[in-house]
Amino acid sequence: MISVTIIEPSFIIRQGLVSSLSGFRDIEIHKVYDEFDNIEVIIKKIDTDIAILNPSSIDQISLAKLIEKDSEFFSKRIVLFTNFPVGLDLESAVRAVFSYHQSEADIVKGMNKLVAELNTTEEPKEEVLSKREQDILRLIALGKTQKEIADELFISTHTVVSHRKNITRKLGIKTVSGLTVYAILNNLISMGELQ
Amino acid sequence: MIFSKNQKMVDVIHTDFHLLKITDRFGIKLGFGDKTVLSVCLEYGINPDFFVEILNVFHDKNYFPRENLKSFSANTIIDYLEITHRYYLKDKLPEIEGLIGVLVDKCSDENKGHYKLILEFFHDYRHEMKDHIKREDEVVFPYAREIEKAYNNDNVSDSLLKRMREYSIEDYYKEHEDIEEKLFDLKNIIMKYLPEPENSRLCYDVLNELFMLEKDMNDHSRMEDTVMVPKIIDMERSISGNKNAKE
Ligand SMILES: [Fe+2]
Ligand SMILES: [Fe+2]
Repeated sequence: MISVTIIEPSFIIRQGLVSSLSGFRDIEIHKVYDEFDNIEVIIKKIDTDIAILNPSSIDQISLAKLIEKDSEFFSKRIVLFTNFPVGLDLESAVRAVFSYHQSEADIVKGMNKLVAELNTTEEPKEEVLSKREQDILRLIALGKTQKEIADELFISTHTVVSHRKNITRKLGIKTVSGLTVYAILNNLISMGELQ
Repeated sequence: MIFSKNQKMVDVIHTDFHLLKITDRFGIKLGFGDKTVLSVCLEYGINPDFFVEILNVFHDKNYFPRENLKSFSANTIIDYLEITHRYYLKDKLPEIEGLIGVLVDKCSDENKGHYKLILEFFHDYRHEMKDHIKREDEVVFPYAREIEKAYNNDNVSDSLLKRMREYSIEDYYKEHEDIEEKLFDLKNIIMKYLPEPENSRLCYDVLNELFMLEKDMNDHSRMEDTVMVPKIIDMERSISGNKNAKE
């Protein structure tokens, strides 16, 4: 299953995207935005595998700036859906480009390819936390900050953050207090330790 | 299906009984008879066009006519957000906490400790929601109303300009927390990780309530983020633009 954000100002196109993508078994639409006023903030909030964006609604310069700021993010996660041909620069800066004028077969083929690429990174059904992840979860539940956890385990805060993301993805629990409940239920920490 | 104000209220509810939550929130009592949505609204002093849009947004998750919603006054929009806040604080959150309390009471001693964890989790969540809502009710909404007033009267005080500089609606938008996250966690904890309940029926009731509340809050936050915020931003811009032009 891959998760998708849709950012498209036109009502008709947005509805079209939502209803055609809902037809894909492995695609799950997470959030739908219809605005561009706050595109920078919206982009920061994207937590899905890909985001489908209409480039004609942002001016070229702001778009270029956004890409420059986080080129890795754009090349991995941003998929353009556009009415007009986009330049080669833009095309190579993003994950994929679809156009209004493509046939159904082409779009389905392209989307399936994307799903296949992204799905390979996903783990098998039963999600088990690694020993390291359990250690980190323990420390999160005890209320330690990222910095403290990094120091205690002699790893970078960056590594802590990426472990934390994996824990959340595996368990389906996002908040610290949710993770704490999980840790107690699974005897990773005891009630006594929580003071 | 998109509802219109000329339909009978009772037919609307037949189509989607979840909309009783909306009628209830607006203070509309049962006993509609054959009255249309329009006449019920007039009777209760509710803006019928706004009410119908709210019904439609709630009914169809793909329907969200942002521009049309933005065309209502900030006062109307905020009035609705405020009654929704009261619905969460006074009705839904205590109700669900009570339900989880019953669930804990009916647990065997062996499970009780574990189920108490979710009761505490929800209890804390209710208090966080209280703070979240308090901030919106007491700081953000009054500010937004004042911006609209200044915009309509084309008269902005220096103190309002100062507030705008110190804490504009964009600042609110940036720090606006995702209030549904914890509900999401709680659902997963109940479905995946708690020991099997002795009383499944009660557990389903709790889950059902959590799913509905999450959806409701999703709509609510969307209204705050994508209708109220851009509307106020437009007015803020126009106010400070005018002010600069005058000077
Ligand atoms: Fe709110
Ligand atoms: Fe809020």
